[in-house]
Amino acid sequence: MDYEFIYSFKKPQLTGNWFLDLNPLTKLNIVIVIAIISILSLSWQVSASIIAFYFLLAALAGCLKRFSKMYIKLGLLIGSLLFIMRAMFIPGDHPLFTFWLFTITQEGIDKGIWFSTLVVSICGAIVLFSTITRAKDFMYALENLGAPHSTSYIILASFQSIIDLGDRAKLIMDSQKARGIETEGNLLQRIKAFIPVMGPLVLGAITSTEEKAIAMEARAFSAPEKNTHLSELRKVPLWEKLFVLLVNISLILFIIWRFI
Amino acid sequence: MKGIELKNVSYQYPLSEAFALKNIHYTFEKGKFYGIIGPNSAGKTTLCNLVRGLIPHFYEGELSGDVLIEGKDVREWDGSLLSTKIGYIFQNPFTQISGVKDTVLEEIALGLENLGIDKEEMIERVINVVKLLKIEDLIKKNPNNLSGGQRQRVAFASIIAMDNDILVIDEPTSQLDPESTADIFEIINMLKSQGKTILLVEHKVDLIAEYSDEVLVMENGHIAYSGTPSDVFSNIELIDRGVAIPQAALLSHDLQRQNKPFDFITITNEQAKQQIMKRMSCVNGSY
Amino acid sequence: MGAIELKNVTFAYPNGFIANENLTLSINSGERVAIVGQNGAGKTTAVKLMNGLNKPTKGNVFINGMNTKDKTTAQISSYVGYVFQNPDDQIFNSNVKKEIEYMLRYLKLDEKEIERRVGRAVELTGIQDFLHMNPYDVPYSTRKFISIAAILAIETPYIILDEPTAGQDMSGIKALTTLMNVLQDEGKSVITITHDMEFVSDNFSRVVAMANKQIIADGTARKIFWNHDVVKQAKIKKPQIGELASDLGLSEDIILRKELVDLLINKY
Ligand SMILES: Nc1ncnc2c1ncn2[C@@H]1O[C@H](COP(=O)(O)OP(=O)(O)OP(=O)(O)O)[C@@H](O)[C@H]1O
Ligand SMILES: [Mg+2]
Repeated sequence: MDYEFIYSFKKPQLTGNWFLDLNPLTKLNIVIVIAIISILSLSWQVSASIIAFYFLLAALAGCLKRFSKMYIKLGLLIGSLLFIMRAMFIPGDHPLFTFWLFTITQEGIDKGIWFSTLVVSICGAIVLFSTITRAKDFMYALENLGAPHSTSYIILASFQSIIDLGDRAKLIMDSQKARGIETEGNLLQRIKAFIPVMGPLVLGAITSTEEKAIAMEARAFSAPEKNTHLSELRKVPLWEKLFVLLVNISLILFIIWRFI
Repeated sequence: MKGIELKNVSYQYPLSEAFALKNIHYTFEKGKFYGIIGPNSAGKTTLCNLVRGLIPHFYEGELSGDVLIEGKDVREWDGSLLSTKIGYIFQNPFTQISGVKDTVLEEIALGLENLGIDKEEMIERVINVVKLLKIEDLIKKNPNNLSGGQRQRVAFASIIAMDNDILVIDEPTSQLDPESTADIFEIINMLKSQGKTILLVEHKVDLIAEYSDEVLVMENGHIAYSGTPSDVFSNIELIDRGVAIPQAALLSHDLQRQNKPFDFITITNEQAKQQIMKRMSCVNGSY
Repeated sequence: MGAIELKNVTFAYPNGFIANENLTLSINSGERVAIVGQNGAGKTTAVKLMNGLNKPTKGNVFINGMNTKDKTTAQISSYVGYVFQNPDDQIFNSNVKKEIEYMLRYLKLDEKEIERRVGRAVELTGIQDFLHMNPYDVPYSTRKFISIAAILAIETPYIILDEPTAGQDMSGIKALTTLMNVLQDEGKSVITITHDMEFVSDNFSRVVAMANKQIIADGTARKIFWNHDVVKQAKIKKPQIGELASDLGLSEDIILRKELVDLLINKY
């Protein structure tokens, strides 16, 4: 038996990467500060720089590949969607060109760029946080703060249910394939195969919630005892506390500089 | 001593007109091993839900009669205390994995975390059940990447790690290879010898005949037969009612039909072996 | 060449875990084969290679001479029907009848043909009483039969059943036996993974045993069950009657109750 693996739980499981090993709440604090800066700056240049900055942070944590894989897709989708919506519908005094029913204005373009970079930068904060933080560590950190066990579980379970939904979708696709329904191939074919499974997907998610609840109950989830943990978090070192302080002071300075 | 008493219990699931359980009257004594058999849809799983207190604490519906767990009415039990008293291993291992842990090791520890066991002891206990179930090779795997039988063993390990006094186990070997199945029965027998009360639903009647103290045959929501394995399995009526009986008993019946009966209806391989050896030595002795 | 042909196939999951190693196997059209072996041996992984859900990492799989690498799973599945080990991985409609018709409607068959095929699948699996229910509201053992019916309705020449005997009662086992007989009479190949040794000795002449990612034996049920090394490695057991015969030290390789009864009547 792999005792080394088992005993690794006796101490905090550190990765050796200083950024990854930060306390989940420290990481949360950092991404929130970044998102606030993006919101308050009211400038697409700042938001865009922040977007670039995420990649730097992800690289620092050694998760560049995983982060990019998810963020680029999501960012492009949301960003272009929002941009098009804004650009098409915002009226202004400087029309650039007209097609069909829409007049595209300079104002629309400007607002579109600003708004889409802003939202994409906020999404980035969330994606980055979830790539560099294990959900269970986050849950444990919340419990240390005094959050009740059930609250932190619900957060963890919601994280999980998004992953489950993805897994379930894949299972249904496999099941369809195994009956002869083409789900591979071009985008259109995939979408055509996917539409009919949306309903069952949601329904299945609801049914499995009940089963999950019973499964958790069988594990004494609601037992009156105060629960313990197999894995533990590192005690936050002094330098990390100072680092958080520094980050938050820079936010305050930024606010002062921007608004006073 | 009485562990769980059922007095004239009937139950209907919500929105269902049929009775899932009808007039059940039975006492499960502490420290005994009960084998529950019978065709599918006979109410075996519902009976499990009932003695585990999921009915009425989780499932609504119409419950009548009394269910006493260690002398106290199930309705008066605090639902959360029941989970520390009675361990329940589900029929479907695919739904028993919590889904919130990324390794088998952590999955098994989950129940212990909820019970507030301190870390040193938790690790000790997890190591013990891992060895007991022979799943050393699985501890680093993601529970979602296990084969059916591996999952079933992990689900079993996760519950017995919690060390409950009463264990309700619904078809724990349905996905297991024959050797692991035999291992599970050995483990259950060991748990019984530690004083635990066992309620086991199984289709593998040969093993039920060998290990259990009492057998209950369920049919259409009620207990059609109950008694010691010999009493129950020597009854040939069972076959006509769609209930499987051990191969040793079938062998006995076949020989009886051909006018070469054993001294009694054998229900285990060991008994059949003794009978056949006796006969062989007679034949060989006459040479 | 066999209808289903595995040639030196190795398969690794996306996480890098090798689950099948160097499998070579040939199954003829109309043949009935049982696959047995320890949990995690790679049985499910292997049969998923046969319908293209898994594509070999090394080696080749041929169905009717087509290499599965050149075809999509959907194309292969019109020859090879696979019933999943866990019915919940397979069933996704909220109504039993819809679940069974799903593929037939996709194929745009006419109503009469759909009715005929559904009727036949339902009769073979004995799920008449459940047609208008939600699959989630029926017992596990019935759900398994629903998943079988959904595949039978497609009427593929080869059918793979992954642990259909799990959790079945006596009538369920009987229904499976009848079903396999009917399929064989129609000339279809049936490949069944099972841990039920009585079911194997009663119904299969050819048995493939797997252990530790590999095929370790392929032969008659009698040969496999009376090969001590194979039994031990694959973590299987002889059927109860075989165990008894072996405990008694009988020299005949008995696996069926009838054989033991005859021996006892005639000799002792
Ligand atoms: N999606 C997956 N990713 C990684 N490894 C997997 C995955 N699915 C299965 N495995 C591993 O591959 C091996 C073979 O699994 P498989 O499901 O083929 O076993 P099996 O012979 O069907 O077992 P059982 O009798 O328990 O169903 C196991 O060790 C399992 O842990
Ligand atoms: Mg399998």
